[in-house]
Amino acid sequence: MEPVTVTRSVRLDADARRVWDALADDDGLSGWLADRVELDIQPGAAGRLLDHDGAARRVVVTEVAEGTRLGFAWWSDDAPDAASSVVITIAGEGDTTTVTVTETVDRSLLAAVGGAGGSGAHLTEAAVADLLGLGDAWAERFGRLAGALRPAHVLAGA
Amino acid sequence: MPEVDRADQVFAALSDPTRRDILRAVGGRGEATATELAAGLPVTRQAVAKHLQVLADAGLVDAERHGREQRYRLTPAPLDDALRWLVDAGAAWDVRLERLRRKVARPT
Repeated sequence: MEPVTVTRSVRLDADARRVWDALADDDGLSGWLADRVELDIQPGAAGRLLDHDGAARRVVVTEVAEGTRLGFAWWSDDAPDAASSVVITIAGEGDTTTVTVTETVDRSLLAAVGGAGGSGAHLTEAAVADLLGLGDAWAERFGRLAGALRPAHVLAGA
Repeated sequence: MPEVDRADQVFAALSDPTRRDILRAVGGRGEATATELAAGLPVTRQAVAKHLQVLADAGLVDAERHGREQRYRLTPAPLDDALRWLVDAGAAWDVRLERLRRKVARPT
């Protein structure tokens, strides 16, 4: 197991209760995690996600701590062997709440992901700009602008 | 080089703010020498040359010799699978978390 991990955080202007409700209430995951989500927020529950571009994913809930933590494993219909695991944590601090997402995949599975419609991506100027954006945010981690989306940090092979 | 090692090397190269400035400057100029880059940055030519070597080792720039100086440009290097996944997965979460932010902000 050689994990590759990506992490993102967002700080929201709402208390943790409200964020959890928006994130995970009855149809909570729909409309933000994907366009359509058919899934019960229960450990062991299996379901399906559909995105606007037609991409479909299978998902299995791995852990639920009401109000603070949600974990699941998911994989694309196109690459059923390449599952990644996601943990979403919610940390409230008064009127603001930080949502942190960590997605981890085993390095050995990435060739399968890349092979699913992957077209040898190149380090174009746009890709460099993207990487530089991540680099800047790295230093900033939890940005000061409440409510502003900040990529938090990216770890390779963590 | 294994993909994760290269991804580590790329991210390590980009973790230094001066190197990010240099990489931006190279991208902005199309190509540049260490001397030209040092003129626009608060660091010495020697320091710029060292940073350029780190960026070159990570595959982010490459150099061509012109007379006594190397000219650097951005590399159209292939992104390895791990690096591509990091960029793609990170961008997808940016989009999802922005949707969550909007959803939380909506009056209930």
